[in-house]
Amino acid sequence: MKNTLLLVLFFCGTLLSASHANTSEGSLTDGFITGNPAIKSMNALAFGPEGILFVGDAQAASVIAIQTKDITSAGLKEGINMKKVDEKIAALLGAKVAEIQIVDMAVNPISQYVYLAVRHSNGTAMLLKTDGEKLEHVSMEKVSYSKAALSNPVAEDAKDRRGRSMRVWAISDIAYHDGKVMVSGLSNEEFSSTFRSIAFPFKDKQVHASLEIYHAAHGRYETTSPIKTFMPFDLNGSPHIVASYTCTPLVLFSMNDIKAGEHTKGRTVAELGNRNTPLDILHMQLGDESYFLMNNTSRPVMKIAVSDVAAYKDYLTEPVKGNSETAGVEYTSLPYVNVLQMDKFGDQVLMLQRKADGDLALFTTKKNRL
Amino acid sequence: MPTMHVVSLKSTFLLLIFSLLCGLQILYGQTQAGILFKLVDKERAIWEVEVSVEEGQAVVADKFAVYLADEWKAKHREGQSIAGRKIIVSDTILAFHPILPFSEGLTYVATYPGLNTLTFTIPTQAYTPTTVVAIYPNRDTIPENILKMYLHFSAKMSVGKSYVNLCITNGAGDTIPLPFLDLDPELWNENSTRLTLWFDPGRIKRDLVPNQLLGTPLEKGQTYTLHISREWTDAAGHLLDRTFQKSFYVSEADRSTPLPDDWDIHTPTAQSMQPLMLQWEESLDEALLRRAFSVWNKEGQTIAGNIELGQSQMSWSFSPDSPWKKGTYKIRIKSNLEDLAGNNLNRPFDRDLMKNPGETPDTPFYWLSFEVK
Repeated sequence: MKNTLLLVLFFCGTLLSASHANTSEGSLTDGFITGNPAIKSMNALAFGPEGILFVGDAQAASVIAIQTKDITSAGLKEGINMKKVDEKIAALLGAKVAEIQIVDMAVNPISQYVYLAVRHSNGTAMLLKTDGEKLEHVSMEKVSYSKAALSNPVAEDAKDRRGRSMRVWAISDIAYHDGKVMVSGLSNEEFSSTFRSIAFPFKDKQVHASLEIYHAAHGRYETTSPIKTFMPFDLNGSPHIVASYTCTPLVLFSMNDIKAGEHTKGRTVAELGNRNTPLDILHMQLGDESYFLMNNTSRPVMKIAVSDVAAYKDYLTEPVKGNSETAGVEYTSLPYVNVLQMDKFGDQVLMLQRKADGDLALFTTKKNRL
Repeated sequence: MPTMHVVSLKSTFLLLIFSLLCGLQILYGQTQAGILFKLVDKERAIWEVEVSVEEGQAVVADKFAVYLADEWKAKHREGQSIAGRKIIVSDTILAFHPILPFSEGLTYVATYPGLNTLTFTIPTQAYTPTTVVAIYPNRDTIPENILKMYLHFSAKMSVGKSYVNLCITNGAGDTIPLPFLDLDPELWNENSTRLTLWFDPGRIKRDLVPNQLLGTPLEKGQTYTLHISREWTDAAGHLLDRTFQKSFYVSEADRSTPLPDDWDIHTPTAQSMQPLMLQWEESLDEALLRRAFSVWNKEGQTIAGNIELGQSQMSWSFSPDSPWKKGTYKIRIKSNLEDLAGNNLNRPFDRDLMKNPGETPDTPFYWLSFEVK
């Protein structure tokens, strides 16, 4: 069974020339300013170097880099095992458990403190941080930050009667890789996505790459599809992106293949089952082999060998046969269901899991259990 | 007798203390030391809690803590205190503003060493229940491969709860399993008054595994009802006014791109303020229609005016702010304008490569022209 993918790239500048923007001396935070970044929503979190936390703010159509100053190891090598996380958050915020939603989670790779983007049902966005087994609120009133607006090249939007645009690019994922912040977004109107790459540190004049994805089901029906989650990683020394879409296929493409104004072919390497949306993708070295780990809305955590993905040379072009619910690269299901958030925690994996008894637990899992 | 004597002495002592305290209060003319909660913004129902210590003492921010009453009780008079800002009002007064405003109906406990603990409940305010004001497409017949729906609410809604508060039933009253994509982030407008819903694209796209195994969420020739639960709370935490329902009949799948060249143009006359109208044979996407068109004069400038959408989103009209002049005008149409099945002007939602091989157009705009006489 095979499947074809066409990547149609719209460049507003040269992406690749920005890939080594940070070659000069000095800190990445040299140009940061101090104050309140006026964040309206926190849709996605990702850590960069020097304890810099990137926050995707869809409502303000911007990405904010925050200098957390959290740059010393907290010595939590043993891991984390926190129970009733939602109740703890509700107690910290003085709210009902049902009003609280954990939108995203990121582990600072330096300190191994866990940061949570939390949303109250009234829309208030808050950043929380673990302090051992306790949680604390990270105030945004006076932080060192830098902000980049997510400009839209075709921004002639209709306004409602009060003069507000109804259109939003909902940020679905964010990642930092080699001097670039990458952001994927879904439109709340047209069925399409943008995939942007912004050079970091942010410059006044930004370099944006917008990427629209087409893929073909089994060589016959070509469609477009928005990216839900993605992860940049190096495959044999060459930068790649593995992405999953709202219609579930897992697609791999090489950053080196991305050329301004050209259509690039990527590879759909797997379909991951029905009624399932991938939530996060990680890349882990387990023994001699490296793997992708994915948590999903309605399936257990999946483990896919990177070598299998790399060796999967053909596009999925044959129709699905039999009653198979998945197709393409093989994967192993790990015994972790209802994992809502997942990130690396040193050489362990941190999971936020809704247990069978209803408890929302935050815990680390050692390599030998993956 | 001796006992009575003792009681009398005790009463006199207490009376003396009471008088002294009253005298002190009159002397300084200030609020008694203690904790109180008060309404600081009546319109937005914002409450704060304040601690006052006796004159001559200095209030210490770290000693003042506010808890959810349940947390306070469950953790035996401690536990996690609520995060917030502590604002020094004066040497003796400190105000606490929680990160999240205190919620209606919830009970809190405020403590300060040496003062009586205050337990307070935020009273419920009068409110107008939020309603569903529109559902698009608003027509009664929709294609089998419908991609999107828009739900409009009268006020800001809670976010992240759509999936459990929506369902579709078939003619027999059975619930259709998971027709919508469980998407996080949910696709709200900035003000959280409009939600965009996607039918599961994996089931609509021909030949993907979900489509092959489950078919499209809706079947041609059937009647369905969308139910919006009253339990879906708005941003203030209140239930909707009532349960909302909309029934629709499902027709054949639509796999064709809209073709602007086939549209009817109703042209206005010169010197008039008559509307320009475009008309087509199917319903188009309501949200995209509102920003798909612009009208250009022969000098290449866009004309200001008001737009209106016709019944079932099958027409668009434009009333200019100033009268039309004789000459040629152009209408610019964004190619991302979609019909109900997600087919846009450049390409169908899922293009059959056997029937339509080759590349699809990649143009951002299409143009129509008309003559004003």
